[in-house]
Amino acid sequence: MTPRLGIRIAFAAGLALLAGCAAPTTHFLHPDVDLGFVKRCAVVPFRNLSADRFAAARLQPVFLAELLQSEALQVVDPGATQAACNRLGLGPDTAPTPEQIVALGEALDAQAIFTGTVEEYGQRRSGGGQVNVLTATFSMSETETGSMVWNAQVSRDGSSFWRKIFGGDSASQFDVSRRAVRDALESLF
Amino acid sequence: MRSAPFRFFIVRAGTTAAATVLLPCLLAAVPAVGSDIAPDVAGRTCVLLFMAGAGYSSGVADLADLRALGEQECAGALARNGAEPLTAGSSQALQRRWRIRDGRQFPPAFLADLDSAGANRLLLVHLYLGSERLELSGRLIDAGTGLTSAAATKVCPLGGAAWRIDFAIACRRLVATLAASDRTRTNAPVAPLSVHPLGFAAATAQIATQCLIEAALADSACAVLDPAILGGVLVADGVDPRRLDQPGLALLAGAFGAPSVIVIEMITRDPDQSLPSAIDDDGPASGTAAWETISPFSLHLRVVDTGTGLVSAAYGVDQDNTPARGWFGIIGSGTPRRLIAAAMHRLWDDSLRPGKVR
Repeated sequence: MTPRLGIRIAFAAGLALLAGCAAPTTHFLHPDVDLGFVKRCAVVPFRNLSADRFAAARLQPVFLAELLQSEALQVVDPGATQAACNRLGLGPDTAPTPEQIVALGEALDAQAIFTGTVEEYGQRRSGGGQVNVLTATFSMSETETGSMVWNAQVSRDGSSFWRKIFGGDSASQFDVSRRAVRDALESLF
Repeated sequence: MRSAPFRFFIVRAGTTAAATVLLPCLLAAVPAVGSDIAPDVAGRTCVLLFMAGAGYSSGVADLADLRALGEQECAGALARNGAEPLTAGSSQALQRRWRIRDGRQFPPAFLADLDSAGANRLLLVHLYLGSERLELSGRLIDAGTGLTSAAATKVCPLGGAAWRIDFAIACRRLVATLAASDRTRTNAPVAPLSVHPLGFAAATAQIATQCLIEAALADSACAVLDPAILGGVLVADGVDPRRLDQPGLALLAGAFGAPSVIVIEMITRDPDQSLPSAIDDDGPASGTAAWETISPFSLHLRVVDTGTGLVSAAYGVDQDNTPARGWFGIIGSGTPRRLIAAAMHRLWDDSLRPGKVR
């Protein structure tokens, strides 16, 4: 094998690897925060900025399941969280203020509140076909002061290197959502 | 030459006469479980039959007639299986008094009144009337404990003039199946709430709730509290079952001794779904979305500890509505009930496996 051919193969392999890699999660984690004090948390209903009416409702149970899988926190039932939000007059399409975060923490006996916003949810054209996509932002605020301690924006789609090479359908929206949430939570735990 | 209405009358009269003669013969052919058992005088069974998802064009002209026939057949089948049914008059009076219109929730006061009327069990039947078929979902509920002892579904075709015979046979088979699978379960009760739909009609959610109970009962050891009883207790105490807070959980733990509550959401995956918001509510079934068709959906189950109010486990499954290709390329038709039942069984089986999340 000539050196030039070796370089070509290495270049092709590098391109292939790059094509298979997903965009990194953009995240912020407060440097002074100690996650050890957070034992119990709640997940408020996600906001939906996408065209799909039920995108937030679909993503929230996925987030809840992945959060439980991390086994890092105890999670208050979303039904109780929703009831507390209603009592505080917190609507589904408004981000909670720091005061509301504090009030929610007191009502639910939780040390942290997770929020989420679905920015893009559905299908996008990619190559010759359609792929499922999800772009979302997740945040965690501590309930003593209501300040945000973690924020992550993640964008994932159902394409992959092997699908591009050999063809095949996009990963399901459910799988794309799970992967996106997992990647986002990995930046926290 | 006879006019069209007159000919219709003759045809209908002929069909009715044929049904009157044939019905007893055909019904005798359907095996009854324990038909020689003496009636249980200790407690009667109240038959409650409701139309769900009705209003579609079909061969059935008179829905009231269908309902009356169903109640009569179910009561007769119960008697043949050794259970004494509450009289139709008493049952209807109770329903009117407590405004039991769809069988989705039973207030505690209704159950107490039922007890004073001498009935300790409920036979709850929902009829789903489609364009070509009719589905009957039934369950036997102990009004005292709130436990569902059996649940089953039967389907009968609606084609032809002999639908009355098909329907009567289906009613009798449903009751026979329920009686055969009726048994006491001693394990700690599980408390599933009615399935909460997002993007589906109330009738579809009701089918999902029935599938949930059937999946739970398929696990032979499980004692299953009925969602209609649980919902009735919560609503009577001013608690929204969809937003179950700590007082609601404590209420269920105190009244039924349930260590945890199972909450299931059924969410459409159809991006073009544009149903009005009223469809999501547990209100009357709307005619805008037929229960005979279904879009792809996800089922999400979470187990909530009644003591702490924390989610102890969560699971989710996805279900497509595309026909499944089986052996030799044969495409199997999936009715909404089959698809929902398949997804619900997968979800329930997942929830029984060790581990927290799938």
